[in-house]
Amino acid sequence: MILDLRELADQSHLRADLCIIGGGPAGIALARRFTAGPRQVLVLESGGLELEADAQELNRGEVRGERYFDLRLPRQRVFGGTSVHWTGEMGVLGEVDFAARPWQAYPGWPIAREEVASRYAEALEICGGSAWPRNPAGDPALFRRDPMPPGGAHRLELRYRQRRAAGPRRFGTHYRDELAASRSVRVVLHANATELVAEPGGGHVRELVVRTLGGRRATVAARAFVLACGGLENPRLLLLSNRVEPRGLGNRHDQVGRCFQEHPVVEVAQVFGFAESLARVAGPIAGSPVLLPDLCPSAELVTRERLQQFGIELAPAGEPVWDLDRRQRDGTRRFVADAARLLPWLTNEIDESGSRRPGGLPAMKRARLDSMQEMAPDPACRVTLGEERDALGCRRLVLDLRLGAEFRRTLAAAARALVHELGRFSIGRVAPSAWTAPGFDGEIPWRGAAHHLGTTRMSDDPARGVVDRDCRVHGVDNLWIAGSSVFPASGYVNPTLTIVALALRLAEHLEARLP
Amino acid sequence: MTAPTTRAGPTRRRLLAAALAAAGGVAVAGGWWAAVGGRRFRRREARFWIDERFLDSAARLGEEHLAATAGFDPEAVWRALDELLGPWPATGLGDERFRARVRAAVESDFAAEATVDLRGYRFSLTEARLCALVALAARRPRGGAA
Repeated sequence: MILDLRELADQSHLRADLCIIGGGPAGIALARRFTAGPRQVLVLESGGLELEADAQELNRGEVRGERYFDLRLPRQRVFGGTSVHWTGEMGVLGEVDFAARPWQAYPGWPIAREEVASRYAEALEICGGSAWPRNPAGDPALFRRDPMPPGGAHRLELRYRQRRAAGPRRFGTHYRDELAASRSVRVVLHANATELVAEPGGGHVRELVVRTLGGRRATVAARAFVLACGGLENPRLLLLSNRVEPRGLGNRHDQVGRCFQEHPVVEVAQVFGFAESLARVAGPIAGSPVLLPDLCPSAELVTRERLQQFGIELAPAGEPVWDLDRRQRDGTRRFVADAARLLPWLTNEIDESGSRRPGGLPAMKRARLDSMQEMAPDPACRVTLGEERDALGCRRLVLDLRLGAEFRRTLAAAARALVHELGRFSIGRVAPSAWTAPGFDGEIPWRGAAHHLGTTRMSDDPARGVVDRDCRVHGVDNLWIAGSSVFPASGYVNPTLTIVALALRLAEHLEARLP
Repeated sequence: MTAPTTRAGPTRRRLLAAALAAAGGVAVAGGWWAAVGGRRFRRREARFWIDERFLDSAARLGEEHLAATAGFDPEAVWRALDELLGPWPATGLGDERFRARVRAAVESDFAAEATVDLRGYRFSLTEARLCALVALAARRPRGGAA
């Protein structure tokens, strides 16, 4: 059933077994598990079925530190959430992403990868993806065809993300009818959560206050509440819920909103002699989805150099690389052309008689390569509340965004590894971007991926995180969190698939907790 | 076009010039290109490393390395290359084992971070040195000595 809070009576009091705050991919994936059961579920969505400007205005906030998006842009208050502008790119976190990183002040995942990986297949189906081709190691979730033999000090590995050939799945339109037909699930639109009201002591949520922009107010009582409104709004709502806990609900250890992470995307290098050579190792695979090959650091490299993850994005097989030579007509173009002419011999494209092998490199293009970077958890990179208030009277958020020294160090390592690995295997030659030089302290031209991660991180230690391994807020017995805000380490891949996999895991947990 | 027969002097000079040009062409085609670093450096020899069709490109790349390297010592580079690549076969590019040795040397350079920066691009030290020798040879008058 789909309702609209604007059409309910003012001061309504709604009841449910489970109240999910947020109608994006996490909230919808969670709700779908309850469509046929006996439990009554409410899904509260701030927006409507279509994008609305006044709802988007609630996302306005202040950004300090690094330059970043206007905060109204990367998040969408609409049923289906941010899937409405999702690129449809999906990736899985690898073992390296779950491995302990003892050099970090903040720990990584407290759970084994299998806890998430065992749900990837169903998550992929929900997101509209296709199964990855099974790799020789037999891991159905992580396909990895590794062209790089071991031995290099800067070893990179080839991993794949995928993009849905039919275009991104928009959760709101795709799952609307299914949820509307359910007798167990009620979706309430234009229901803006403004405060979680806790019992004295702060250990239990008594009710949730919701408002419309038109002034109606309602309360929701539920046996369990799940916050599923994104990496910025999840901490914001906890901080706004400070009637009992002055620092905010679940924030006794001052961890809510800390360790914000993005996936900064940075040009890491220009290369030539590359695309066609790599096509031989990252080429199309029969029957597979659109695969997006990335070069990533090996676990050994991450550990030895104490790096964050990164993925250097290669052009998908069959798609053209960005040909810089069409844009630049300076002397470098001639220089690159000369250098590129020498490479066929090294890459064995010239046979013993000095002739070009059939099917050899037709033309060596120069291309730009971007790296999507994982940020290290930094408590100073955080979400807090400002003094300005939104149309509902709630304090707007402030995002203090800092990329940090680890980001710069990892970026330099990415460029260095690219130089050596492409050279070591005679795939191409690399010109690292100026800002990848060690010690570069100028401004790095990066852009955000609109991924908001880590602000209510998962940790067994309440002093180092906000939720426990079951995604329950530490110290609050009926409040859980779904979404990328619980990621203690984010890898480099697009988070949607892992968000959905974690939502499925949470659903199983709640099914057991709500008999 | 037929030369006028009534002007014998100029015709002889032209014939002499044509003969000298032909001799020069034969000399270039026959192999002498230059001598670099105390070693006679044949165009044919350059093909040990680089396909002949790409020699001009190699020379331009080598000029970049020379410009970036103060005190480039060709003799020392020859010795280093001899040590790295071993004996040079007479068959040049046709010798797959020799090509493999050059390729291995280049790849080892990258693995060992023995790289040079040319116009921002990172090249193997070995490939830059080879190109620099080609560039030096190309600078000299053809058929001349070091």
